[in-house]
Amino acid sequence: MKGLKFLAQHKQFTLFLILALAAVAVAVFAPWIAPKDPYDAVMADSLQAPGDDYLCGTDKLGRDVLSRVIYGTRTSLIMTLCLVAVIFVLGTLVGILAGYFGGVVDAVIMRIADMCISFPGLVLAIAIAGMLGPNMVNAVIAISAVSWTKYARLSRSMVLKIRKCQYIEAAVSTGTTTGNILLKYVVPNMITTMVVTAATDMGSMMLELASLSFLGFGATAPTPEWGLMLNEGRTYIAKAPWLMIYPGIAIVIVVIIFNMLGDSLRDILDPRQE
Amino acid sequence: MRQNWLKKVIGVGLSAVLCMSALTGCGGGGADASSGNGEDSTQAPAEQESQAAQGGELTIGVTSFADTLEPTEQYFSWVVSRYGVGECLVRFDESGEMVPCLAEKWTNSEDGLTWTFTIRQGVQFSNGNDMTPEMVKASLERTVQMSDRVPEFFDLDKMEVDGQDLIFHLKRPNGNMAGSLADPLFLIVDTSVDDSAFAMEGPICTGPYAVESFNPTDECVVVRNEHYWDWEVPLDKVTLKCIDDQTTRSMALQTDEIQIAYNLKTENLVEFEGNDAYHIQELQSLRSTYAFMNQNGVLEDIKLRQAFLRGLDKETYCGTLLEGGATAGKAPVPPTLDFGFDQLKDENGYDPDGAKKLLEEGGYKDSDGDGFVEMPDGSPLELNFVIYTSREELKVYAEAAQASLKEIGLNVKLDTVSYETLLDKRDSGDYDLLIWNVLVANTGDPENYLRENWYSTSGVNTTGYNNPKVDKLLDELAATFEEDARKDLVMQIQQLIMDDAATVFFGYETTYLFSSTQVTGVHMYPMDYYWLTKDIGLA
Repeated sequence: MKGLKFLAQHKQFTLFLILALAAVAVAVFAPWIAPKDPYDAVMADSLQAPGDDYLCGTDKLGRDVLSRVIYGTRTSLIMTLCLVAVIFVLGTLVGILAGYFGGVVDAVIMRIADMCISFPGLVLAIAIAGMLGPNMVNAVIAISAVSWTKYARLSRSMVLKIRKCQYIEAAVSTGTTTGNILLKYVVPNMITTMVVTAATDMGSMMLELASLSFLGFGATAPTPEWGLMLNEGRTYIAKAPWLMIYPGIAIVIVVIIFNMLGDSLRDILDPRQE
Repeated sequence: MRQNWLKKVIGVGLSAVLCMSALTGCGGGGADASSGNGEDSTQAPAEQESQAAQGGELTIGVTSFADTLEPTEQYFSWVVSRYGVGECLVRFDESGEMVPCLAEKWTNSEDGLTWTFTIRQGVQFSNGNDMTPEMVKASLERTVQMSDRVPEFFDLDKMEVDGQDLIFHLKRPNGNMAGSLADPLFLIVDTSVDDSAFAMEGPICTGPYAVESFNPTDECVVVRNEHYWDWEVPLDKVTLKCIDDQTTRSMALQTDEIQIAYNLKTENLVEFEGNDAYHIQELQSLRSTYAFMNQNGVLEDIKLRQAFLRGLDKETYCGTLLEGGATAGKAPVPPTLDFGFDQLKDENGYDPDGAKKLLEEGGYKDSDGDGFVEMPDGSPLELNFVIYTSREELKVYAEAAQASLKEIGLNVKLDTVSYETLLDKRDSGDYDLLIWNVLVANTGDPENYLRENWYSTSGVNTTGYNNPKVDKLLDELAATFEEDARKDLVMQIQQLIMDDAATVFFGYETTYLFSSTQVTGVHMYPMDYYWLTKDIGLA
């Protein structure tokens, strides 16, 4: 009952939470929702316009665009979740270490972070993905390598602030172990801000992954992935615009949902907003 | 609060759309980047109008092909010839016949061992030096010394100069020496200058244009050769801009950023057909698209190769996917040349059931249930298929093959690289399959093409293909001059290569050339060594 009341109080959050869950459901239940096999190439039906047989048309190899867009939700969501999880955990951890211990640890970690920031993000990611070879795991690695700094800097600055608080001094003087201090006093006081950051990042990370795939450094054929589908459709833009329209719409919708979800989450959790 | 929310939805929506357009903008990426420094190109049309009378400038959209302009490296001499810079002793006209160029005439001894070329008088290099028979000799010696592709053309004993004549003494008879010397590899350069500068500043040749600047994968600017021997060159300056992306190239032609676009395909027809501002030319070309199968790897097993071939529905790829932009392949030489295409028997036609049976016989079984077969010893089987980006139809072939082969349980991974990287991969043998698109009759006859690709000791044969019978017949072909006998030999060789399931012959493409009607004198040549010619001018 308490949960329902909370949801009723935060209508915007509720709406986008439902939409986000719907997107996740599409990904999970893709095999039941998709009308056709996304890999099944019926070459005789190459580049069919949207119609009765194929709601969103077919691509060059005669694969159903709608099914590919639906399956693409899987690829995009899984990759994005992995990516955000990786940078959230790694970035935060490294930031806490740097902030709490200071000194050499801080200097080394922060200088590495400075180095990463001094490159334009996507360009560095392209370089890394290019060296590792194009596939989805490498795309996630490449974007993680350039995005973790944001979390590291944010968590470091918060830890620096928290460390000066009296309750930390109290904990130290009563002999609490460092691990306990970090887990019980530091992390709980900063985690909400980090979660909000991660939630608002979902949309932009999804776009970056799609960009990498679009440029040929992420998902490889024949994986149904929105960025890759956009790239494949580009050649036929004058002749078969549906190849770009539907994956494009899918990206726009899902990115908006996750951005708005992150936004409303921040409204609820972040005290500074009010 | 509510208003706030609405604003946010609109804001985020807008930014998402912006990101999307940034994303698609990026996509032209590779090509956009190269047109990035395009101040000059955007002004080009305006300048053309004002200067049309006394010359003018032109921009041609091409696909990136060469790292350097050193003509003896790889196939880079093609670029030197296509850009109107280099010329050979002999050239091919629009119907594929040999005509005199830097040589006025030629004769040969009956045994094909001695060839005499009379060098044209009064020809100067673009730096004003005279082209003497000695200079021609020195240039050809340089080519023989620096390129490892020469032995497949002819086996030179020595050259001598007699007055205006250049005499070739060969060790192996050659019935088609004039055709061999028409290949751009043998274009004539001035060896009296510092030839180490050729790579980046362009070679000094005799063509209608001379290189002004060269920037690999970006652009090459050529200017009128003031010393040209044949004709007054109509244009002051031509920019050959590398735009690898087909869509971007087509758009560049529509926006008049370029006036001629090479390598556009059937899917671009819809953009230009019925528009009076463009000329469309079409040619059933002599180009063949095929994929080498590397027999030094898992494709050593002929059963696997045969299964691979039988899994491919090439008729559908060419007829439906490429919309008739190519003729389905089966043999090395396309039906546009009369070398018995219809009589050749292809035992590896489309037959998915037969392919599955072959895999079974060979011990390839799907033991882990992932839908793909494993090697007989149980290790995973993944075929690495290397393709390059600048020809859009290669991707269609490769992806279609990937989809068809999945049906019979073969796992194919596509590795998409640039043409320059592809060359490296071929030389190092780092592939299972590697796509290739080549002119079949590069010397006016398929002999050199067959020898270069399937002779066991040929430098570019990195597949490990070795059939002593093919070698023997190729040697015999070199010494045969009579036309019917040559045709018969070429047919036998083709049949052997097909029976060995040595190579995947996808198809023979139809080539298109789209050009703005402002430009005159644009022709398509079956031997596509000539893009920018002395005939091209502005209307």
